[in-house]
Parts: sequence; C-alpha cells; structure tokens
Amino acid sequence: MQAPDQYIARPLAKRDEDERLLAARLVTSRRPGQWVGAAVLLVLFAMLVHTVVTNGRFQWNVVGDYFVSRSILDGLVLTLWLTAAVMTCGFVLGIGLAAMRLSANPILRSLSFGYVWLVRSVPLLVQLLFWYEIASLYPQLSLGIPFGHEFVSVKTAHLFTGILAAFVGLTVDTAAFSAEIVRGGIVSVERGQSEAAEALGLSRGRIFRRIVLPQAMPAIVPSTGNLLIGLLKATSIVSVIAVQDLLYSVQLIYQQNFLIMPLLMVATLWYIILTTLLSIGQYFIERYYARGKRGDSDPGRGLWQITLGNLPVFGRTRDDLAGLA
Amino acid sequence: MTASEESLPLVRIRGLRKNFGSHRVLDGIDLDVREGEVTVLLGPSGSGKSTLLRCVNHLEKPDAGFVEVAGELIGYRYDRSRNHGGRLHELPHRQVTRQRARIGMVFQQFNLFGHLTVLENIIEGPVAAGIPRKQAVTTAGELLDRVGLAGREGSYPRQMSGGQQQRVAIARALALQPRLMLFDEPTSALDPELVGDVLAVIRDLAASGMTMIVVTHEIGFAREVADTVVFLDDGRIVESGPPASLLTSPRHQRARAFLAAVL
Repeated sequence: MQAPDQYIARPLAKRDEDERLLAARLVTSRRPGQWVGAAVLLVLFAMLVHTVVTNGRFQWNVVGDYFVSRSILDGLVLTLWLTAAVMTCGFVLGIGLAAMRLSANPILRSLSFGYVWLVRSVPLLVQLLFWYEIASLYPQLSLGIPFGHEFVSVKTAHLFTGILAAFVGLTVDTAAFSAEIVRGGIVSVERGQSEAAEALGLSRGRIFRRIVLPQAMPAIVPSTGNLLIGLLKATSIVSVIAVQDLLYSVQLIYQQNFLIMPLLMVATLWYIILTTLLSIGQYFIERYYARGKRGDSDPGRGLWQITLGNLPVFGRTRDDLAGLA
Repeated sequence: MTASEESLPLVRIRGLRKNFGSHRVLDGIDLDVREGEVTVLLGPSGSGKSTLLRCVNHLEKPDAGFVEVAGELIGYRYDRSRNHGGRLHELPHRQVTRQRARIGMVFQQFNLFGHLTVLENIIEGPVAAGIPRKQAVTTAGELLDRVGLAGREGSYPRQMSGGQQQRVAIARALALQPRLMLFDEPTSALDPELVGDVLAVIRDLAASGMTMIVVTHEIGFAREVADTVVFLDDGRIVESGPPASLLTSPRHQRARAFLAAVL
C-alpha cells in the first residue's frame, strides 16, 4: 500500500554527493570588477565636487545672488508656460495627425504624411526664424474668398511678434514629433483589441479614445517624456528671436556685468531642477498606465527602491530589495 | 413576400464570396441558421470558417453575396429603384455599429481590454449603446454569475487564467443581449484542462435557446451541442447536416479525410 502523499514513480538514481549538495549554502557570485569601478567613480565624483566647490571662479556667491532674482524668475516663468502651452497644443495636434495617418481616408493620410515629412525636414532654428520673418514673405494676411473678395486683413509684422513666432514654430515642430510617437504607440496595440471593440458595436471615435489610445500610452509616455524634456531645453533657442526666456534673461545680465559663467550656472541649475521634476512626474505617469499589467499582490517597487536597485555601488540585488520591502 | 419574418431563418447567407488579394477565401457560401439553433463550422485550417464567421458581423466586407440577420442586410442597404437588379449601398459606419451591437462575438484570443477591469470590459458595450451605467453594472454581475465568475468584477484580465478570460469575454458579448452569438475557435488558445469550463458555459447558452454559429475543432462538443454541422473546404460548403449522420458517416470524401485525421 502506497502512502497517499508519496509519488508513484521509479526509484531515482542516487550519488554519494547528493546529501552534501542539498545541505550546501548558496553563495551569489562576487563581482570584484563592480567594486573597483565603484571606487574609481567615487574618486572621480569627489574630485568633481572638490573642484566645483573650491574653484573660486565659479563665483557661487554670484550664483546665489541671481538665482531667485526678479528677471531670472520672469524668464523662468516664460520658459515654463511656453513649454506647457507648446506641449499641450503640439501633443493634441500630434494625436490628430497620428489618427489621420492611420485612418482609412487617403486624403487625410497623405496630409498627415506630408506635414510630418516637411516639418521634420526643416531645422527648428530655421522654422523659428521663418515664422519670425514671415512678414517679409507675406506682408498681409487676409480672410476672404479664395482668389476673390477679402473680408479682413492684418499686417503680418504686427501679428507675428517674437513670442507668437516662438509658440507657432515650436508647436508645429512638436506636433510632428508627437504624431510619430503616438502613431508608434497605436501600432503597438494588438489588432484584436479594436476588432473586439468593433464587434461590441463601439463607434470609431470611442474605440480610439477608450480602447486603443489608453493601451498605446505605455509605449507613448517614455518617448513623450523625452520629447517634453527636449522641448523644455529647446525653448532656450527662442533667445535668437529676442524672446525673454530663462536663457535670454541670463544673457541680458551677463552682457552687462560679464559674469558669464556664474550666470550660465544659474540657468543650468534651473534646467536641472525642472528636468528632475519632469522625470519624477514621468515615473508616476508610467506607473499609472502600467495598471492591469501586474498582479494586485505586487504594488510595484517605490522610486527610492528603484533608485537603490539601479545603483550597483551598493551591491544589492533585486532579490535583496524584495526581501527588504 | 409570402413568408412572414418569423418563419424565415434568423441568419441567411447567400452567394457569399471573399478574396484576400488573388486568393479566393469564400467561394459562394449559402447557409441558413434558424432561430435557437447551434451551427458548428468544421473544416481544415484555411478553409474559410473564420472568414465566414467574420462576414456575419461585417468585420470582413464580402466581395459578393449578402448576409441577412433577422431580415436585415448586414453592412448594406438595398436600393431596388434601378435597373439590373438594383444596387447595394454601403451603410454608414454608425449603422453598421448598431447592427453589430446585436450580434455577440467571442474570439480565439479572448481580446479582453487589458487596461480595463472585468466589470469595465463587460459594461463598455452597453454604456456605449446608451444603457444607464447602474443597470449595466447589475446586468454584468448577473452575467458573471452565469459564467461562474461571480464577484470577479474588480480583477484585471491578466490576473485570470485563459479559461476565466474567455468566460469574461462570453459575458461581455452577452451584455448587449444579442440575438446571435458567434464563436471563433473559443477554446483553441486554452490549456487542455481549461477547455471544459468554457465549453460548459457555451453548452448552457445553447440550452437556453441562444442562436449560435461556432467555429471549433472540438468534435465531441459539436456532436453533443450542434443542431447542424457545416463542413467547409477551400471556401465552399461541401457537406452539411445533423451531427449524428455527418460526424459518423460523412458522404463527402474531404469531410471523411478531415474527420479521420482529427478523431
């Protein structure tokens, strides 16, 4: 009679070592190279900190004086709202362009393709100058019947101030790049998802909004974060058309007092702070769109744990961290 | 018109043709499905079973012929006012959408919406169709109970086994109270031990009088549940009839060869 909890199987082949192997302790592999690398990095980092602190020519007191000065903060605010406005409008346009590109209508498809092709082909700086100087090409803009009567017209030079040229140029550019990011995300969603939605009798718009776009987001968000951070810094290009953003405000000051380096440090530090905040935001958005992709029992590792996990200096493995959590 | 609508079959398919490029997938299909009956489509892979099923709710547009469900042409409007037998005009998308909402469909790969919970998956169709959310939620609860998944409203598809996902997909298709259900190889993507639960749900549905067209390779299931078995080969119906006779003594040589290979 077989005991109920015993396997019914052939006897297993045994070796003398088996018992000792089973009793042995598991030792994870040592990585001396990592420790050496970490030591080298630490020394280099210490040198960097040392020189930044002790090199008097950084003039940190000047950095401190200007860091939250009135004109710098004004420039910062302009950089921020220009980035926000361009990103919002550009991304919405981009979604529309992506939808056009993927639609069944060949006219919409070609329009979207042509737009993206043209805009991506022209350097951003050239686009900005183009919009800024458009008055030399079309001195007047009019609304009316094609080739016929004009109802209203306006002098282009009055319309396209520096800030409007900056907004239009950056938005046009961002829309093209967003369109490609969104299209890539949409293509990554399985065909079966929209088929199932069609079979349920959902309208095309609802399928796009409720089914396809949300599932494209995990593929869209990381590239969009990249685009947004790129845009934040690319806004500094508007200084060439005399828009007073963060960089231009700094330039205006150091052109008078020649404290070039400390003032560039002011701008740099602000860009670093903003980029850090955006990166943190991106982390949380990515976590939101990952819902439904992991079990409820796993709430996901926190930002701090991920930071630690990605620092091999501490020699911790993911398993160690899981044990800590 | 001599026959009233009640005496007509729920589904009438006539002269249906479909090409993918130069390949003729459906080559003149004629088929009736009566209300309350279960029709099982059998045939080797590539014989056109799934395409036929997908033509019924217009996921595929036929190149010729027509599909009629409950007396209504699917995907087209007939204009008889012209000479030469009139014209079939494509329906606007909104009307096709309305027609589809009354035909439930279950896919081989389940195709549940991964970013939505089980409840959200089930109420998506009804809410889009204008049914109040509260009512849709109540119905969803009843449907989950019916497929043996009571209380799983809050789960995400990825947290469930394939068999559970497919039962949610069935509940989702039933949420719009369809008159017709289409099953496209509903158990082919499942591990063998999970097939039984899904078949049991479909069996219950058949017993409740739902009209169904089922593409499957489960011969035993076909024998038990089907009223009619239709055997397709190379885009044509080569034999159809009650399972008792077709599955035990098929007359067509292709059907014989297929059954000999799968049994």
